Amino acid sequence: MTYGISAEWSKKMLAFDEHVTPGAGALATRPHVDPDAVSLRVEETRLVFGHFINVARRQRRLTIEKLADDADIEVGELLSIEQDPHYEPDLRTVWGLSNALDLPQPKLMELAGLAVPKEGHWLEEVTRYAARSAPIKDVTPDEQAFHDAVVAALTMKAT
Amino acid sequence: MTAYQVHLFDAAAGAMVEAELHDEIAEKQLIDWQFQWRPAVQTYMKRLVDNGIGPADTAWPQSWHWDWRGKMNEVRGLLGHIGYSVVCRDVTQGMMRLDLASRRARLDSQAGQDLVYVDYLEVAPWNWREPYADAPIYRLVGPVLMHAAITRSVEEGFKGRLGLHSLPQAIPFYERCGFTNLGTRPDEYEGKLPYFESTPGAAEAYLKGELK
Amino acid sequence: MSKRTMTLNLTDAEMGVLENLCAKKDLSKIGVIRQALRLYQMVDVRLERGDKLFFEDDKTKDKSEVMML
Repeated sequence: MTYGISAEWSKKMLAFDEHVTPGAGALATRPHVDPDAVSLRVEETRLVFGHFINVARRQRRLTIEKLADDADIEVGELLSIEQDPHYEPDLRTVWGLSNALDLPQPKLMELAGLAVPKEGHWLEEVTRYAARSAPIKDVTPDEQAFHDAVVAALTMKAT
Repeated sequence: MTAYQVHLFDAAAGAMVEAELHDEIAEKQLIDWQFQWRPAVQTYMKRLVDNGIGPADTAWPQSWHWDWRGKMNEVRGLLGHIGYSVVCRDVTQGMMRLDLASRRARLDSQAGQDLVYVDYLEVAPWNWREPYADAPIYRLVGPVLMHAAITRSVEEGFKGRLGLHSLPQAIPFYERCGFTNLGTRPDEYEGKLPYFESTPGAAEAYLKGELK
Repeated sequence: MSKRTMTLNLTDAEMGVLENLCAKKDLSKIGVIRQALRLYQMVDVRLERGDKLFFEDDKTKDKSEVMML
């Protein structure tokens, strides 16, 4: 008995080809998403999702560690959700957050870009609101210096 | 890691080609999955969408979202879960993860006996037979993996007994292997994946290449 | 794969159980011990993650807790 397989065996098996794709194992729990709908819209809504989780957490006066613990997710994941717009959250992660923050799971999934919304307008409204509500923080001295340097470079006349 | 010589069918050349069966799923396999399998699946899915096929259609590829890296991380260091992979021309063509210890047979003739259970089995997207897919590049990747799983079962003393839940489109494949279809259960995989088992007799026939 | 050798001293009762399992499962002694070790490790890893191990009564669907850390 050996793991090696002869050309003869393989030739025999060719005759039994069912012309289907072999596969076995559990289907993933990630909901199916139409790849066309994914594109730009999802990036936008993920930005809003991340921002929303950040605000929701701070409003409840939770540290990142505490919320991650409550939601049974990794601290790194939560950080990525709040700070990385390209980060694609896991189904289980969003489920954990919906429990921990006591928010409706299906809509939160849509906001997180994991489910295609049946009715899309609410996402657009939420996105517009997020843009309006972004705080205007004062520029720090370092940032001011950086700004001035760039403006100077931009306006420098060619010599 | 041990590599064994196996043979696949190179469809373009119309001839047998030497390949390797590895008794593990290593970083190389996960890199191939991440940088070759996944983009190929995305391309295929885009083609489906372009042809008007969406998630609710049965043509939607059922394993596109499997995270092989995650699946192997889950079992890292565990004796009871092992992997096998098929490599041809230095590219991974198929992979499977096995459970050696935690499952038992259901078929009446062998109920309660230990068997090898196939947790996951997938062949590379360019070897798929699916509507709108290009013709497969290599054939026999599935049979080579089945041969390995049965051989492992024999080596463990389980006499070739295997268990697995078939993806719906693969049902004819396992029926042809001579495995018994025990059907679906509503509390298993949402009632979508039928459970198959091989018997020592079916396994022996398979290893000899004597299917009906 | 390199193999290491170990000598096991089992009581009569333990050997009896091992031999029964071998007969029931039609496995060699080393086969049974390997399965036991694999299962034990799987259970241990899950328990460490915080999962619980239950047996479920097939008819009543009652769960009885089997193991905890």
